[in-house]
Amino acid sequence: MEHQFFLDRLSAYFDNELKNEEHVIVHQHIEGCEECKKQLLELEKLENLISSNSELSENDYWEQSAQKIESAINKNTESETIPVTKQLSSSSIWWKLTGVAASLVLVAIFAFEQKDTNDELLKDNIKSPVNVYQKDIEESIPVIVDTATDENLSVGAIELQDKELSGRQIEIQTIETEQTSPAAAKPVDKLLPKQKQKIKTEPKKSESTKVKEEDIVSFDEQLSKYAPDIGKPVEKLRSSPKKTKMKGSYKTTSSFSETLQQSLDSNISTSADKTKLDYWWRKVFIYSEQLEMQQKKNSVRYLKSAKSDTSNKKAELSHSDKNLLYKQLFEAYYNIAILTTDSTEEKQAVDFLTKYSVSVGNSYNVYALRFLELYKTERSKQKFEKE
Amino acid sequence: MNKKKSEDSDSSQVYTTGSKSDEQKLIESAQNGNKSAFGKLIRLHQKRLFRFVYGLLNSFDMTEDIVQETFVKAFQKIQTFKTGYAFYPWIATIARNLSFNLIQREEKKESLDKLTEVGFDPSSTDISALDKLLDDENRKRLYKAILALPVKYRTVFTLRHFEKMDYAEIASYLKIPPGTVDSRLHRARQMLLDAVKDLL
Repeated sequence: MEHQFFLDRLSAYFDNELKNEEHVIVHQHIEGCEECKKQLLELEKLENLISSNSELSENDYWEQSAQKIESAINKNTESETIPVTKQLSSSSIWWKLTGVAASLVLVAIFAFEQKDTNDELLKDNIKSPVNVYQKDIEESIPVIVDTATDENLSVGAIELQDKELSGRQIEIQTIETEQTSPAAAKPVDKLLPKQKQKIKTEPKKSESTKVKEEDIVSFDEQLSKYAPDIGKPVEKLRSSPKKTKMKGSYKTTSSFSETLQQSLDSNISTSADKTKLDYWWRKVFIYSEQLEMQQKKNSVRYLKSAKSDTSNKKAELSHSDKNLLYKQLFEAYYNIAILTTDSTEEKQAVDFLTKYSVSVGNSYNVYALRFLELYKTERSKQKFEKE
Repeated sequence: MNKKKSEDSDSSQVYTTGSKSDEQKLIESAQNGNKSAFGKLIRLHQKRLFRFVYGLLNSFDMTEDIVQETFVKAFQKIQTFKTGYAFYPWIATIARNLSFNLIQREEKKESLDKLTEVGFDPSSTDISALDKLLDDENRKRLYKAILALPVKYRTVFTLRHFEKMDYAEIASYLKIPPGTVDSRLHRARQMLLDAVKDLL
């Protein structure tokens, strides 16, 4: 029994991990115990075996592994340090346009959200909606800046804030007034040239509180330029029951077919509208970035099943949300293909849709296929009309 | 007291003073955004890190993932690294945390205590993976025996023999009493002796 006690201490003795007194006692025992001496010798041999054989071999694997790690680092730093706006920074005009477009998208989303939540309020204040929504808009401004995912984007939003303020006010008024006067919800292509011209001269902040019929119509066009989904009459929006909530800032209130129809309605009238094209390009960048970020998060597979880590879970998009992102990306490319006069641009957009429509195994491919078909139909329709 | 603790302690864990080593220069260069300098650091430490993580996880694929993730994270946070300290313990800590997180996320084990008590053992050791890492038959036998150890013994063994930690360090690392480190290491050695007796 006593011997077993010493045998159990041998490992720690060998490592010099015993306390002073204990070390001395064990040492004295070993001196007179052959079995312990033998055991100690074996431990020493094992130690030698491990130290001489524990190094992993020098072979090609390590260089390959290092290169793999380096490329992972490169991929990681590229996607992290080059925000979308920086990719466009070579042109200051581009930069401004992206700022405008992004701000408008965000404004539109917030206006839309508020309309959703304040549906009842909207009914009650139908006669004097301006005051209510002016307050809401003012409150929403800092939120817009906060929600911008990109630092440059938010800077852009701040700079453009004053400029856009008047536009925002009109935007809300229009949505409400459309409810009171259905005549106001004219399709864009029916606008008179005079009314179109009006957009450029207005709006000023002080004038924005006065809601005129002309203003409403002109805004309708202005809004449809940037966000065709948003300027629709309230009734129509209400009638679409499907509301898919995105984790993030993106929201849609229409089903797939409705989105298509809305895109068609708003796009056929004006072809090759540069600003509108920019809007869709901006959308492409935003959605691509979202998808890329998501891909990056999923790059290490175990992060996927991070049930214990709520922050990861929050950051992760659900399957349907990912599909929605792809759908919106396809929609943006489809619109680019339709709007553009540049054949390279068109090819790029069509190629993107084709690429996704032919690959199988993902549920969102069907959207790509449908947009591609729609694009082809639209093009042949335009050809037919020309002839 | 003729303890050889200081000899056993890995020199890389000791605060390095005096003239700047090559590693320190590489770190400083990497902190200035030099990726090739960081590449050299990867090549300098990846083998040891791999061995350490492999000892913890006993899964070639998972170890590859963790090692890659560790270096990616290290590069992201390289600015926070205090110059003057050794690089390896820092990345080993990152790798350790990632490994334990992985185990928790994989829902194999709920906590570190459980990891060390019950452990994370794949059904069998992936022997074919060893071919990539080792070319000597004896080494393969030894690694096979090490990886076949139950995790609670293997973890302690890895930290002691590969990371050259002393008992107190292992105890605080695994949050277990030093006495438990002693008994587990003793048991691990006994099992290994039985497995590789003919190699001694």
